[in-house]
Amino acid sequence: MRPFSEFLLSAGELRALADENARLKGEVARLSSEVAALREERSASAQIEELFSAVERAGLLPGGSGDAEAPRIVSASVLARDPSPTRAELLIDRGRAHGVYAGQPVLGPAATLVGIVADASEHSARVRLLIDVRSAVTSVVQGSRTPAALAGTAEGLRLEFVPAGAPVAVGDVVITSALGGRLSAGLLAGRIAAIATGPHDPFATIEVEPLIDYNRLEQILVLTGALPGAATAEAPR
Amino acid sequence: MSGLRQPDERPSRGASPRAAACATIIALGCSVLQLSLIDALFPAGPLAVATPLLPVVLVAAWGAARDPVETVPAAIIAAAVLGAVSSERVGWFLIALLPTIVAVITVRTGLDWVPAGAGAQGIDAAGDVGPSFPAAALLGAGAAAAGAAAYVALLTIAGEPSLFPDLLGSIVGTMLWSAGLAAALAPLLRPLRRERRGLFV
Repeated sequence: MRPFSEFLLSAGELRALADENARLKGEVARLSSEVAALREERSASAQIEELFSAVERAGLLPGGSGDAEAPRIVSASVLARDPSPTRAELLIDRGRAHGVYAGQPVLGPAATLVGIVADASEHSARVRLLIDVRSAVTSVVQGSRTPAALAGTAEGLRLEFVPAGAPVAVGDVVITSALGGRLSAGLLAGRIAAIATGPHDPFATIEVEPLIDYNRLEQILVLTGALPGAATAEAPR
Repeated sequence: MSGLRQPDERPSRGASPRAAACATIIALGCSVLQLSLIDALFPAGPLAVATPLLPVVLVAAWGAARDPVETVPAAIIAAAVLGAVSSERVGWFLIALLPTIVAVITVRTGLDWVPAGAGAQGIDAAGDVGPSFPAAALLGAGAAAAGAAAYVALLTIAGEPSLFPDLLGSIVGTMLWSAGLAAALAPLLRPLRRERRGLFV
């Protein structure tokens, strides 16, 4: 049988162990939080790296002859989506302080054009997505080089002002055009999903399928070297 | 009806600043959740899809369980948060949230759910003031449905009125989501109702 003094010592140790346990639990919680934050950062870095790789493959990165002091591509995180029911816009964490200005094109995965900077403040900016009903960009159908306007609609994207009988087909890729001087040429924008032409319609009705999921955008790239200060494209009404 | 008060028996009502502050803090959280969690759970297309409107739900449920006037600061904060990340003006969001408050006030003024036996102060023997559990749920759901419809409609008018026909489906879905959540939340908030000795009396 243990002496009474040992019993008291054990009781004291139990208290110390309980304190130690509480401290370690707090430490585990703090470390778990740090691990989660680091995983999130790693995920964001991987996304940005993938974006840059795609842009590099597309030949959009500045060459060695460019001004090294002036960044031409800025990565940004999506902070929030516009809560207004009629707007498809994103708030990003880069603004004029980072060289982001209205009119600059914004790229998503696979160097696909996702929208245009609509408005920039000092440290944030608003990006109007291509699918916004107020968006319209000049574009061409790759292959046939048929010029058109790619506009956002209530259903998604539509190619406008394409004459009925123009040499376009379902599956053709739509890219941006430099016509109008607002955008760089050759940015991926969508793929033709359906073509309909009425017997008396001068223009074909062409639905365009987006190449990316606009709801999954977390990291994006802004082509800050492209036409800073250009006016935002507005859909013709 | 036995449950109706006479006009001269109305209790002295007045918004509690502490309750209003509490509702405002919750509204701040609701607005942030609206921009993050709800946005992630309900992927949107070019236009709004049927999503619950958490600030509308809170205002409707709080107004149904307690005093609708207490939700005015909450609506202002919610409008400020939502408007800060939108191209639409903050004022439009505030205008869009006001119909919910008006709906609760209108219904609570027009109908009265104080239990039978209410005294001169509108407080019954059990010390209760305000609607019962089912009445709170019903009132919260109705106000949230009306408020959600008005919210989407007003913001559509502010943004692009021509899109209104395209948004009718979203409006109906948003009404149902918001009404369902408010019906669940209003009874949960009922313990905060006015009592002789209760929270925020």
